[in-house]
Parts: sequence; C-alpha cells; structure tokens
Amino acid sequence: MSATALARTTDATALADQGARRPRVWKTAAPPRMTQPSSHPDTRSAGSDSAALEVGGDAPVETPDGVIALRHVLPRINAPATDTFRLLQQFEGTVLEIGQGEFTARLVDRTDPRNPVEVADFSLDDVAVGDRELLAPGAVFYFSVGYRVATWGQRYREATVKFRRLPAWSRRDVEKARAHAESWSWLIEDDGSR
Amino acid sequence: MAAAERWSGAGPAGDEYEVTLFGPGVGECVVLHLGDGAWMVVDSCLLEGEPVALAYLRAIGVSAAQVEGMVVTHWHDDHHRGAAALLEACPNAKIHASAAVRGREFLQLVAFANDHAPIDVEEFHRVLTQLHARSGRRREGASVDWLRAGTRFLNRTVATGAQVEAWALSPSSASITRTLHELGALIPVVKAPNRRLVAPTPNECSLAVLLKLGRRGVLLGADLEEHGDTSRGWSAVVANHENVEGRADVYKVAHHGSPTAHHEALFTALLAPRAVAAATPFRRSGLPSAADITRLGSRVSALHLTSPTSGKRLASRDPTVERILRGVVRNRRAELGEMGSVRFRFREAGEIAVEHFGAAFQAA
Repeated sequence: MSATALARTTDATALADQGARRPRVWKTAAPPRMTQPSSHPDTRSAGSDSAALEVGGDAPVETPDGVIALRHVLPRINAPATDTFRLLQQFEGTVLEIGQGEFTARLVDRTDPRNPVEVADFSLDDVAVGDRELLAPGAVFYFSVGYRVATWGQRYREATVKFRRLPAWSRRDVEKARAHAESWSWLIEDDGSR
Repeated sequence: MAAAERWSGAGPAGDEYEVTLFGPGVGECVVLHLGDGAWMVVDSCLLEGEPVALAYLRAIGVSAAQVEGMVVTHWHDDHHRGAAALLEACPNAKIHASAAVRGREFLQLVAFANDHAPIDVEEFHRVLTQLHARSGRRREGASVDWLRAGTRFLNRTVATGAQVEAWALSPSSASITRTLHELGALIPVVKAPNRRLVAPTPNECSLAVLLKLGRRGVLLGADLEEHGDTSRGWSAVVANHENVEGRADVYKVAHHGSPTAHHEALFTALLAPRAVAAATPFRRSGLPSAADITRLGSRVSALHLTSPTSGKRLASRDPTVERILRGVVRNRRAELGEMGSVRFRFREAGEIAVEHFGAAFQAA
C-alpha cells in the first residue's frame, strides 16, 4: 500500500465512513505522555472536525442544545478553541511480539527513509482502547512525535500511536488468491529431480 | 564501501572448499564452494539492496552462473531477503526448499502477498513468480526440489576423487504435518483482518543440511530448534543421524545461538571433536546473549560471529524528538548492524583457515 493510500485509510473521516469507533481525544493542562489522536497524525487541527466537541476530558462535553443551535448560525464566533499539531517525526511500526505489559515493534522512519530501521519496546498502556483489538503480531501502526500548540500558544510535547485499519479480506480477495495459488500448483505437484 | 574492498583475495582453488557466512545483524546467508568451481548458496540477506552472495562472488571473481544450487531453509524474513534477485541472477541454480511448505496451504498464503497486503511472504511471492516465468521458457530445472529429513540432494565426485554430498537433516514428518496445519490456519478467510501475517513457529519447517566434502563435513543448522520430542527438531536429527554418516568440522550455529536450538548430543554426535563454529546475530531478540556465547564456546574449538549483537548508533534526530522518544519508548536499538562475514577455507587435509571481514570477530 502506498503512503497516500495509508493516509486515506487512517483519516478520521474515512474511519467514520467505515463505521469505526471514534477515537478518544485528550486535552489536559499537563499533557499526557501519549495521546490517541482523532485524525491522521500529519499536521491537523483538533477543532476542525466533528470530534471537537469531545475535547475536554475522557467524557464528552455536555453541550446545551441552544449552544449547538448557535454554532450552526454563527459557527465562526462560537467555534471551539482549536489546537494544532506540528509533526516532527513519524515512524511506521510493525508489531513483532507482545510481552508482559509491552510490545516490541520494528520502526521504519517515514520522515527520513534513509535512516536505519529501529526496534523498540512500547507500553501496552499507550495503545488506545479502541485500537486494542488491532494489537497483534504483524499489526501496522503509525508512531508520530511532535508539538501540540494550543490556541493561546502553549506548546505540549506529544507522541501518538495509531493503528492502521484496512478493510477486511473480501470474498473477491480470497477467490483471487486461490486462483493465483492454483496457477502455481505445478510447483508442488512436480517432484523436480526426485 | 565497494564490494571488492570488503573482501580480500581471489576465489578458492579447485581443490579447496569454502564456507562463508554473512550476517548484518538480522539476516544470514552462507556461500559454499563445493570444489571444481561449483557453488551453492544457502539463504539470502542484503548488502546495500543487493543479495550479499552476488556481491561477494563478484568480488572474488566468480560468475553467478557457477551457482548450481540455492537452498531456502524456511520462510522467516531474515533468511530469504533477496532470494528472488539471487535466483534471477543465477540461471543454473536449482532451488531446494523445505518439504514442510510443499502444500496448497503455503501457495495460498503466498498468493495473498501483494502491494496491498504486505504479509510476511512477499519474497516467496517473487520467487514463485520467477520460477513460474522460468517454466515458460524451460520447464526442466524450474521446479522446486522439496527436501525432507534423510534426503540426499547432491552427490558427485570431484577432480580430487573426493565424494561431495549434501543431505537434508530436517524437516521430519512430524514437523511437516505441524507446519502445514499451522499454515492452513494462517490463510486469510473472508472478513478476516488484513494484517501482516506472522507464523507462531516458522522455525518448525527449517531445513538443516549436512555437507560431506570428502573427509570434511559442514553442518548448517538453519533455525532448527529443539522441542524435547524425538519426532521433531534436533532430537529427531540426533535420533536419526546414523542414517547420515560423517561429522562436521564446521558448524553454522542453529537459530543464532539461541538456547531454544540447543541439544547437547548435537555437539557429540554430529560435530567433530575440534569443530569450529560461526553464528549470525539476531539483534531484534538480542541473540546470541553473553550466556549463549559462553555455552557454545565451551563446546567448540572456536566460535565466530559475523557482527556484534548490539551497539550500532541510532540516527541523529532533532533534540526535541529525542527527548520525546526517550520518554515514550524503551530499549531502542538499530535493527541492522554492519555487515560482517566469516570465511573458512580448507582442503581434504590440513588446517581450516579462518578469515574475518567487516564486523566479524571471534567471540569465544
């Protein structure tokens, strides 16, 4: 899969279209060590998508109906405070193994592909609850490091882990692979020299 | 560094055997001179994007057309990188593989590998595609020689009168059954998650080889492990070793020196008393550990490693990025180290000459 295609499939809008669970977004005065982003971890605005109303803690903000109505009328005036994320470094990770409280991953540098591949250990606590079902050997994720810049200029160092979601194998994929395998079957039927 | 500068000297004389082991930290390849200018390559890894075997043979003035056989011991990614390119460059090479993957299960699994599904068998996809293309031109020689324990797949007399033979020591029947069963369970089904497939026990199907070079012997342990079961792994090899006479003077250590590949009788039944050994590290798991080196070193006359298990500097990044990384991830290490190689050259009689290139060193 190309990087562009990966970006599309991990975009928050695409996730919403696929009926995926909306990731949680945290925003605290003291930034958490790791956060689970609501959109693709390239430069983005936390307030620019529909998840913005959930900003402010683990639980969604209770918003009076009247405020929502006003936002429809005066979206600019009542727009919620926006944060921006400045990406400094991104890796594509592949989970190699899962151990006690941590997992080991192979990290390919997407910011500078000339850099050598690294291997590192992550805490399982750093995986968003919504992504836990994706955590398995072979799972691919994006590990992004950068700054979150708040509306009034505060800067928070931030790292996010976001697992890739691809469409599940379809009947067409499976049939195509079977047909492809069938074309190679002479390789296992032919006994070579023996 | 140019390939020619990495390795010194010319190719071996016609009556001189050679075993050269390459390893960059994750990955391994063995290049063997079987006498009279005939070569064999076991497994493959890359040097600056090229199969290291090709770079080496070119550096010592040997044509890729002299490679008569390629052995792919198993389907773990550190043993088959560049295998398709190697096969393409070696028009006379017959490919030998473990019979444990000779099944529709494996073909189906490989068929799922494409640009949209980067499962862990892409290299096999390229190898099978190339064999299929070869078959269009010349069916003979394009097929795979599927090997199981007890199969002799090379038998010839060289100019010195010595007999040169290659024997598969594994996989056993039990391992073949288990591997095919496991592969069957890995084949994606409709609605299954699309993710990189990782076999729980890819080493079960490993193809260990004993080469008999006249009165000399070479044991290539692949990633074969020990399971405490006489029907599988090293226990099965040791239990049946009477079927394959001869002891090895040179041992390519199994599974990067891991304790999971240790079988005491391997050292007494399969190796000659003064055998020398060489291993490649597997940096992802920190193999071989210091304890592994001590254990192995006490059982052979010398143990050589192609490169250190750890120690290469990581890329230099923005200080802010480094601070964040230090707070979030632990135990960061470079996957690959510097490529190193250990070369053994010997004749029917006399000493075994050992040379180190690149990062290689004697560990014990």
